[in-house]
Amino acid sequence: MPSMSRNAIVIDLNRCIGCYSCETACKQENGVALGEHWNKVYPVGPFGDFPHIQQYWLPTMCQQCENAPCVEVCPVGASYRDPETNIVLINEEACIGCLSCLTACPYGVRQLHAETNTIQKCTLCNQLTAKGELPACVKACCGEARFYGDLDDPESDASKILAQYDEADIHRLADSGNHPSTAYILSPKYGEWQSENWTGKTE
Amino acid sequence: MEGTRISRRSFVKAAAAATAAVAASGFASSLAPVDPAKADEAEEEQIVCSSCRACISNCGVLVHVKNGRVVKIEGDERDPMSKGRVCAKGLAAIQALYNPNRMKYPFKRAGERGENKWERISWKEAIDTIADNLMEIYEKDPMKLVISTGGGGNPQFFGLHRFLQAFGGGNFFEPGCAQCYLPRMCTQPMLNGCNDTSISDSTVGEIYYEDATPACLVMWGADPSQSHVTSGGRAVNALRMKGMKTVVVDPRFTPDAAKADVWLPIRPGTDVAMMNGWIKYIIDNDLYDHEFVMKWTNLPYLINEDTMLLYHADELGIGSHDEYVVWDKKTNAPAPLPYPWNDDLDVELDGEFEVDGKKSRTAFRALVENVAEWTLEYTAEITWCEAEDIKKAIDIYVEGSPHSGIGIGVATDQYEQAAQAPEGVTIIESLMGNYCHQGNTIQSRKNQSLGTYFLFPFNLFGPSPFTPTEECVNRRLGVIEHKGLNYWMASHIPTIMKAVATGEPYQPEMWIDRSGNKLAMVGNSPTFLEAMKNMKFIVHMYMYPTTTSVELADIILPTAEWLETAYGADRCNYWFIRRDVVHTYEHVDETLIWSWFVEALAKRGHKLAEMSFDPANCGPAGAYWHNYDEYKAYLAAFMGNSFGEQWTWEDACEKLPAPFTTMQDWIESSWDSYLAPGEDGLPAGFATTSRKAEPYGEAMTIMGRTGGPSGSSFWDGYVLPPASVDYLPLPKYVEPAESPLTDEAHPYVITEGRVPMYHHGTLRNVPWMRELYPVPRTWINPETAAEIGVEDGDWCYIENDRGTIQGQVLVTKAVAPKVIYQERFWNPELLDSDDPSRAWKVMNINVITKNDAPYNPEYGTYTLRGFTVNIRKAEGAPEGVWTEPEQFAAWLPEVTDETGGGYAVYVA
Repeated sequence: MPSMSRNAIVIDLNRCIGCYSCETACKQENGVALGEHWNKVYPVGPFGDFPHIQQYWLPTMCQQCENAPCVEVCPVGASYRDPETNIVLINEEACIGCLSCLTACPYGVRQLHAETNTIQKCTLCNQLTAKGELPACVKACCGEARFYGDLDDPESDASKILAQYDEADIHRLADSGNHPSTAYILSPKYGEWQSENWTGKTE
Repeated sequence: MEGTRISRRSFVKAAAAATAAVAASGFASSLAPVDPAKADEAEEEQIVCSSCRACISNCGVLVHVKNGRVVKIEGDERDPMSKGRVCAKGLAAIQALYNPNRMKYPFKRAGERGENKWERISWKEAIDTIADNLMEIYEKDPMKLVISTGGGGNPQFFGLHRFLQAFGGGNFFEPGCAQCYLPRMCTQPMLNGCNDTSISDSTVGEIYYEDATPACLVMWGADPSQSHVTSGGRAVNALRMKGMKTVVVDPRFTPDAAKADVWLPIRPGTDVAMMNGWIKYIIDNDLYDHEFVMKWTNLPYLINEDTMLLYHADELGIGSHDEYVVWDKKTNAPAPLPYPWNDDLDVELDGEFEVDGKKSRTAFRALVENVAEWTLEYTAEITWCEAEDIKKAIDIYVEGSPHSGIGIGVATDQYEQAAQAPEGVTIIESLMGNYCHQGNTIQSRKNQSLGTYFLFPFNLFGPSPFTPTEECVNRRLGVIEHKGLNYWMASHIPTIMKAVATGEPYQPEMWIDRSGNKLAMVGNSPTFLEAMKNMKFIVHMYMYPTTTSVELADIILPTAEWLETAYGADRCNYWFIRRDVVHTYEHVDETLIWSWFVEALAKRGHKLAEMSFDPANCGPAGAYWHNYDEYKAYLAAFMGNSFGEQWTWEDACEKLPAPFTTMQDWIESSWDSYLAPGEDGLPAGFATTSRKAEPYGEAMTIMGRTGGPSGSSFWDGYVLPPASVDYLPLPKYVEPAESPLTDEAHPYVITEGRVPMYHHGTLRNVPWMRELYPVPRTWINPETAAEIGVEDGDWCYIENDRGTIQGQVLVTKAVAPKVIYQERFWNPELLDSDDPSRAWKVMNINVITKNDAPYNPEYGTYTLRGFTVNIRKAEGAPEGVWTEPEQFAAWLPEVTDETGGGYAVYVA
């Protein structure tokens, strides 16, 4: 029976201090090559009228879509949803590097790994989470802004942080029916959400 | 003797070979690869508790070691400051440790200075050559020796003072010091009788206490989210989420500014104007804490206007020397005030009277007059902030008092008003009574920073055979004029440069430099380079070749990365231990290098050096060490002492990290401590001459005339000749010498500030960091960018009469119009080019910083922030500078096995 879990990372942007520890922790844990990113932080802003301006930092990675276009378009089944954990993963052995998923992903969070000509991306550090540990980016985060867990389990860290906020403070990247699981928290005091049309294609 | 000749391009070649080897082994990540020969060995991964030193924070870390190699670094959840988090710099440690460009071996120069030609030598040859030169200098005049540290890369600051004392003289400097931390670290405790309030340099304990939330934190030129990411940045962030209000005073819209209740984008160099504005507003609106100001500060005391010092009762024949003098309204006459207070008196706080036939004001009146012109409107005009915002910021801070605090950062240490800014902070905090209450940054914590530095100069605990002579202190270059430098037993960099260049007042001949890249870190480094070329013999020790090695060194020595060093660190109520997890090539902990120098001197008949190995002569500072095990035994004994136990290094490794007290006791023992009985049964008060907070800073004036606040020099008790100008007791605003208000040729004012990827001059050779921040960004407000004609991503020249550098434009509202920001940088990739000098020149803001007068009178600080520049568009990036991630592949880790370090090949 496939698990009903819906594991994802929730990021509280009110807390993110733009320190880039998550990017480096991801590189260390997953051996991500130079120039490639499974997790990348983009500064947003500052915007508004000087000096009363706002800025936040948007860490991006695989959004663990419920209807993942990458899985749908993959011609060889290399992009797949893990039946055990429900996580979207890539079987690099099967990947033929056709780039279909790279094109289909609305958020630009997949990487063509130059060395092997295969696609790579955030796995929610499943080598760690399978052992009951947290993803490396969550552990390292100096802003204590990243929360991991099953969104369907109200006791998970991810659910608990979401429960602390009003619906108006909870945002997702543009959803064209793919239903990204990753949620971003941003309250007006710390910034007006600017990322509804984020495509990951621009820096 | 092995004679490996390294040609100019060999660093690149070596690096390229290493990368090829990595790829061939099939390990294409940016991690430290495992030696293929050992890859199949099924050794268990070990986890070693240690303490990071990628910056000066010492965060607790767990180092994963497999097959004798570091494979992963994580945070240690037991650390009460970092709570298991780890920053990008800490994570970069693996790529730093196994960097193909590690120094690896001692070298001596094989061509002219600047030619970058080297010959490998043995540790024995290196130590012998250096010791022979040291002995020659010692016999001529020990003051001809200059030694230096700082600039990042795990320097062991006090080890150098210790060395000079065993050597018997010499000058010490570091590029921070008067430009970083010393002005705050000396001024604040001297006046507040408690501690300094630097979140990044010290342990501002209050922000790590989870059981109580400060009402308001003012980060004044401080950006913990960038400078102290994992500890201060994390903790401040957590408190903000719990409702702590924050104010950020910073020219730069830092992450802390982005999250603050009020951001004051202050014009660089105008902090004292802003502080005087705050003081006037607080006094004019009667917002100050009357009880605290009257009873716990020196503001009611009467001033002898001739001396600028406060009257003591014996001067007026009305009491004892221990008593200060107040104006008693009941008798309408001056009266002695016994400590702590006399309820029979009706003390006037604010007035001008006739005392002893002369005008005399209360210190409070002098303060009121000192800030008379600083209305909110005028303050706004000078500081380029909005009056409404300034008012809002003060109101938030005042509303939170006496549970507010100001954390003052490095920004104000970097220009002429370096002493006046911490004086201003002391005044503001004194007015609001933000002393030793829950939430204050000013606390009196006995165990504060217990173990940040526990490698001591011999004279720190009282008279010692190694105490510098009075003549030696007097001859330290520039310290009679700038006496605050003596607090760190340091000399004045521009005065050293002048001496080296001119031989006046004497000719320094030998320079031993540890750490960083001085040409990237010292103000206006082209003039520094020219001066230092006159040194006859120069030793540079660091983990990597730098432009200082290439341009100046005669011998270079390979020092250890922090993962190769042993030490300890207090983390609030905890001790953490730094363990020498691995040793690579012939790297050596600098502490042992200095020890080896001392031992070699002893063998050459140097009496003091010989004495320094006998514990009977050395007191609590301990004797010098023959080998690393002896040194580690010293560290363990010191740390064990905190637990009332006698520890070996093995004990320490087994037992630490561990708390030496509870967090609650550690924090709360400071609260109201000034009211608790002291040794004499009276309230303990504060650790100043008056036992009161001293916002009227006569201690500064006394220091200028004698050497220290108590009438003689710090540490050694010599009465030094007065400086040529008096240090004033109250801070007056001085417009920066180069002001955008008047400099039409250079209409922009520039500032610097930390980014989270680098610490001082470090890590520009680490692929993960350079990939994140490949080149320095020049922040320019959109209005100013339009005026100059540059767009985001363009390259620009930043120039003034001292030079021209480049940066890549970031058009952003994160700085005010006319204000420019760029962080320090140097380019190790250019070391292997045809012109290695370009490595420190093309993007290094210190080419254009200002190291000539005016200096801060108290500390001799020169100007690194708040000077003027012009900006114009450049056609592109400087040639040869690496900007793309794949270029940094040349610096990916290379296979390196445990070697035992330099200790395995040299026995002193």
